[in-house]
Amino acid sequence: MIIQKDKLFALLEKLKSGGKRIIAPTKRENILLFSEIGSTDEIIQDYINTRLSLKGFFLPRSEPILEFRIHQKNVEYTTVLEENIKPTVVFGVRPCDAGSLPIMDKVYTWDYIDEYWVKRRESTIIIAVSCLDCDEACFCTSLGLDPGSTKGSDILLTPVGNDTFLVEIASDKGKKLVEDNAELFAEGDADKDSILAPVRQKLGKKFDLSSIQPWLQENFFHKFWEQNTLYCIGCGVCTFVCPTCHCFDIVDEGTVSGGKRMKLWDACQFRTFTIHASGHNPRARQDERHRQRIEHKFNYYPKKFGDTLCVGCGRCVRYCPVDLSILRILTMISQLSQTGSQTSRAEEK
Amino acid sequence: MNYKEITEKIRERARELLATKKVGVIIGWAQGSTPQKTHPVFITNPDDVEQLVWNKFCYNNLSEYLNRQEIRAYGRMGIISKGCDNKAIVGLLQEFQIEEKDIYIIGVVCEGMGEPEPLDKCRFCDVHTPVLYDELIGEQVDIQPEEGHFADVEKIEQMSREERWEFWQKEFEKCIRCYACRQVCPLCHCRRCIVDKNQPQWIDLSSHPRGNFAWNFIRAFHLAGRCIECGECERACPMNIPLMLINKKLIKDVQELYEYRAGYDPKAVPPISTWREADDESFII
Ligand code: SF4
Ligand code: SF4
Ligand code: SF4
Ligand code: SF4
Ligand code: SF4
Repeated sequence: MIIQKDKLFALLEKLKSGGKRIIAPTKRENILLFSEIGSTDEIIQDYINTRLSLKGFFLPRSEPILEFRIHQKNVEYTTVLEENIKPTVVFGVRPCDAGSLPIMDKVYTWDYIDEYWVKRRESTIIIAVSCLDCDEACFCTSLGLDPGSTKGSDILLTPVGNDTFLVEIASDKGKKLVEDNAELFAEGDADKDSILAPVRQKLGKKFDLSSIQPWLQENFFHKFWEQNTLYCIGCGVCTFVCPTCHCFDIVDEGTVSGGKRMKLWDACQFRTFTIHASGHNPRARQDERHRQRIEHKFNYYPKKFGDTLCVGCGRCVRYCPVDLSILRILTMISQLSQTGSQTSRAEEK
Repeated sequence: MNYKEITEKIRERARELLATKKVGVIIGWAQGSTPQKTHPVFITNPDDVEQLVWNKFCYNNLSEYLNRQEIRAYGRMGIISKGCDNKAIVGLLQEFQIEEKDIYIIGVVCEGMGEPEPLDKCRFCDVHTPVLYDELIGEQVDIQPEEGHFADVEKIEQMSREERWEFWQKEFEKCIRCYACRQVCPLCHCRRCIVDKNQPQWIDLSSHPRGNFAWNFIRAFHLAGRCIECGECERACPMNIPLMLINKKLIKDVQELYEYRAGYDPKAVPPISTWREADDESFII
């Protein structure tokens, strides 16, 4: 099945007039961001990827979860949720970012069901677009993903030239969308593999994923961390641009008479992330905090959920202010594990 | 001296300083993940000095690390320092954050960072040769700063109040509160930043307009008369917020009001830390 670009944009306009919020890559003050569009003219189509991932549409940077009022000794509160859930279509999602959604679903549903996440996921349709180009920070293929993978998408479009997209239906939601708008789609086929061959070649395979977790399990105390991650400055860039980082903080803001309880992005790289009320900080050093980032993504999460907490989108590599590249860290670990260089606990610094 | 020769010289001096135990660590730049990047590196073993590089991409202001406990634990800190980074060391000395005995400065003459275009700050740089050093690598260069240092600030000053409001509202709306601007700043050295103080919570942590305005202004205000214009905050900002416009406005005001520019003289008393009875207080309501 195929769809022409004008038909595709007509579909988005139709969904929009049907009451859905349409999110797509747009230019906002000189950077490329997913944002709600007023018209399909705003959509940017020539891009490697957006500055921020789409996670903010499911887990906003900050949002109220309840409002409270205080009268003398009484506290009244109302929860805030339903009005924040809007039927949404996200267009132009890259396969890496789409792939992050099922990874995040596991975190938000394994024990406590996070309604905010789940309801937004249910009310959102993901229309992904395969990548025909990448940059040196991209490494999806090293994680078992692909510039044309359908993981996490409802529909995947692959540009096949002449303003035409190959259409792959990847979920029931996607199937329904196509059925409901069948008149916009057409019969047709294209050789996806040959279209994606150049970008796949450019991506290559940058490290051996299977070597990472065993090394991490053995080398919590390796001097590697001090040698290669201490220059991390402990900001929130890598965490906040990351589609799979999911930690949040809860804070109250307001006055003596009332206010809001806010849910905010948080980052394990912040010094305050683990500080106890006593003042003790179990991750007192920045290399320990950075080790947490790598261990969580490539050891703890895989152990618990059997997948990796990274999709290789490369954002953290591109935007780290001190060029502490996770890709470089993983490549080094992969090499170390081959040479068998390990320091035991006893040899630790 | 060209970049290669300076790199060699830096390595030679680092090796010597580490081998003779004059310093416990050398803070420098190493080859980054792409040819257009470098990353900070801490060398403690004379055999590792080959990692050190000097090229057009030594962006990071390494002075940021002088105040970090983990780095101080290595002993006396040898730091490779270009002129703008160097001004931050002046600030840290003035504010009693470090003592001269804790550091050994290898100044490097810098012709400017960035390629093909130099960084904005380098066009107006008047410290191609650092102010403060124990030894200097490179030959003095005669590069005059360009005219129009504050042209971008003047453009904002000429806007109407409404236009300015709209301009900053759009920019600050993007702020995701990652605090990279703070973390990267050598002079944002409070152990506990005001934004991390939560009893009471002085500044809203949310990214709504009130929270973002409060954060971005408090960050800039706390750097008034202290910011040495290294531009690192703006470079680090993942959302491309033009933070230097605010910093430069403050630099311009401090220069006009107090004839003071931060980062040039470790003996000078910064206007923010001094008071005279005769000071004009008419602005206090
Ligand atoms: S790795 Fe880079 S982006 Fe992440 S916290 Fe450290 S300095 Fe910031
Ligand atoms: S860790 Fe980096 S590369 Fe992996 S998903 Fe997060 S931002 Fe992308
Ligand atoms: S501001 Fe001056 S010292 Fe700093 S990088 Fe530019 S030219 Fe070099
Ligand atoms: S505020 Fe920005 S420009 Fe000024 S010293 Fe800090 S990082 Fe450098
Ligand atoms: S670096 Fe930019 S986005 Fe991050 S807190 Fe500072 S101004 Fe906001």
